[in-house]
Amino acid sequence: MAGTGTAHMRSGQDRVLVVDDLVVEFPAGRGQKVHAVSGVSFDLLDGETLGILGESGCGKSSAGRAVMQLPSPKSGSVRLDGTELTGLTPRTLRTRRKKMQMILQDPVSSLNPRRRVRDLVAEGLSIWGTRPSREQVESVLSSVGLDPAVVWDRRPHELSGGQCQRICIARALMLDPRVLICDEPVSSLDVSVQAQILNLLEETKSRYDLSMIFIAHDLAVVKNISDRIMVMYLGKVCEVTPSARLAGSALHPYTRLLLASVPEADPATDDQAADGRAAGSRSPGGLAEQGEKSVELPSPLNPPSGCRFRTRCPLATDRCAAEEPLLREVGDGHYLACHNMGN
Amino acid sequence: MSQSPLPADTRPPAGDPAPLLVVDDLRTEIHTRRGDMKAVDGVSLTLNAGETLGIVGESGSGKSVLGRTIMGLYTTGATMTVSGRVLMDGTDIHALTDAGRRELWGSDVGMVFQDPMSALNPVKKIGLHLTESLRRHGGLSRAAARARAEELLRLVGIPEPGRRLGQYPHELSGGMRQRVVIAMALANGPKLLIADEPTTALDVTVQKQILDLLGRLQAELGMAIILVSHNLQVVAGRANRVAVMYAGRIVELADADALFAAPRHPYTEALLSAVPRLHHPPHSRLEAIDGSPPDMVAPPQGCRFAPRCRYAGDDCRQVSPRLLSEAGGDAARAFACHHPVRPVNAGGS
Repeated sequence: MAGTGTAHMRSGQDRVLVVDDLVVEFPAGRGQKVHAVSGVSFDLLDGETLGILGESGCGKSSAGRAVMQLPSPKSGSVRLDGTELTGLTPRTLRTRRKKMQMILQDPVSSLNPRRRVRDLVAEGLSIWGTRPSREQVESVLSSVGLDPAVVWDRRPHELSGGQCQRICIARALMLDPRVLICDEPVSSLDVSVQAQILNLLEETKSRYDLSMIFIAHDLAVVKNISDRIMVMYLGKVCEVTPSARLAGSALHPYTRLLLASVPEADPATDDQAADGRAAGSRSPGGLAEQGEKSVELPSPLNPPSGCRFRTRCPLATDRCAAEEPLLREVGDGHYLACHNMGN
Repeated sequence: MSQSPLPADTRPPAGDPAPLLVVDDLRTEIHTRRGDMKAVDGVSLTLNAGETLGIVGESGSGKSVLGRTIMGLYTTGATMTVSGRVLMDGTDIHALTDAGRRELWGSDVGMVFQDPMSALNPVKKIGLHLTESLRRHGGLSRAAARARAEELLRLVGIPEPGRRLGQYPHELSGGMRQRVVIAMALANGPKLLIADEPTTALDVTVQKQILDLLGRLQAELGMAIILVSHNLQVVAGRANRVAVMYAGRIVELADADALFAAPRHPYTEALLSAVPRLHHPPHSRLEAIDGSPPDMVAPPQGCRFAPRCRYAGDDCRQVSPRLLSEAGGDAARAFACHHPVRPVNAGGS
């Protein structure tokens, strides 16, 4: 990944979700294919938050949707609580999938504009034939920080973006899920509202005993909410690291590039921040100084051979073009797919 | 304005005492069905040649309307009323005729918008976007304009500029498109560039490239930049001074370093602590700002941040605080607050 590998996979009974060798491809006409996700594996422990980090086009959203079987991946396996989801009949899939719920980027467009809040929240259970009681809906609304008396009869256009995102979270919670997949849930929100929603997701996770996949492009946001972070580039995994060590000890040139690109306020006044920045930009190869080789993202129609990041990587050698690096352990819980770093 | 923007000869003399831009009590009221929305409500500021001013605020704070009103894109008409003055090199932009403003846009002031795709005409080639203004305002011949266009694309870091001139906007990536938009804004060597959320639609690595590019161009061409963004971090380290806007007004204005080191207005402080930071440990609780911004058709009496402010007293709900410098304090810094945050002793400053 930018290699393949399963070194970062864990064993044990407390894995809620196991995704193995996931491949997602989309037809692009003229016999071409977009290689959105190419052989990605990951697992999710009970109560864990896995952050998937990457820029547009890296396949992070496609991976999240493939886990939900929206649509089913081209190949690979997705096991939720031991049940294989790929290849199920649509009917069985629907019953199993209930345990996974998704929160999307644009909360307003993911709500039916003609429905009232009470129906929006009750909708999920109603579909399964159990009309929830008024108390149930009210209690979920209160738990996402909305006053049921105020929002009960409102429609989405009468609510702010942050309130709509709270409704989306309430809708997901109604079905009592095991896993919450959040795809850029805060990137369309203002920073003050973003903080409210991130805090709410943390509270919700512990109160409802959820595991979470948090997909986003913002490094600081992902680091804040995740236990473990998987960095993706062009459909492959570059690096898997405990989130506490993202800023200090990330090794992959792409992760380093991301870290070096993050604008930071008040660095001079905060020693820790200064340290973090120094660590982020320091590298044996003088990465920050060398910069990127090319500014253009390669086409996912025809991804580079070997390591997919090599066309932008300042450390790339002939080996990177010929041989795809495999994920290997370079530290406690830290896995890297790069020929040139971590040796 | 036919000379190249490449040499530094457009740079104003150093230590020029008169500011390039003076904005005086600017108000933009947008007429809506519910009443007049006070999008910009009494903003005054100055900008020196070669300086970068950051304007930061959340959606609805009026930062983009301010940028566009300064630019002269928003003027008094059927849908809005503009009052106050915008003096660019001593000329009041809002007193100009439409033709006069068009002349200004082509030469002295350039603007970069958030979405590069909608700032470019999808059925026109990149070359035409650039040569249009060079020929109209610069009076260049077709061949000379094309040569300058190629030069401009090279200036903004686009590889193979000659080939790109013949391409359509959809053939370029988002970052490349934004570079083209910047090249268009720079075509006639403006003295002022207004960049409204120039990197919001871009990925973080591309964002850094574009911000670095703006910084490099500013150093080379000596233009002043107004950088409008919702992202404090984007503005930090890029701007000399920062204005924080809330509900149509500037609530704090200070040198960037001083502002981020020790915010004095409670809103600035709240904004800074609402953002997750890379150097904080995971699962740190964020200081969210409760409530939501006021309705600008009927803003609250007194300080507009008071309903959400943790320091607010009764005086805040009665009397609107004015944007003032503290007596005996930093003269370059002003804030509009009755109960400012006490300066922390950060690094002995």
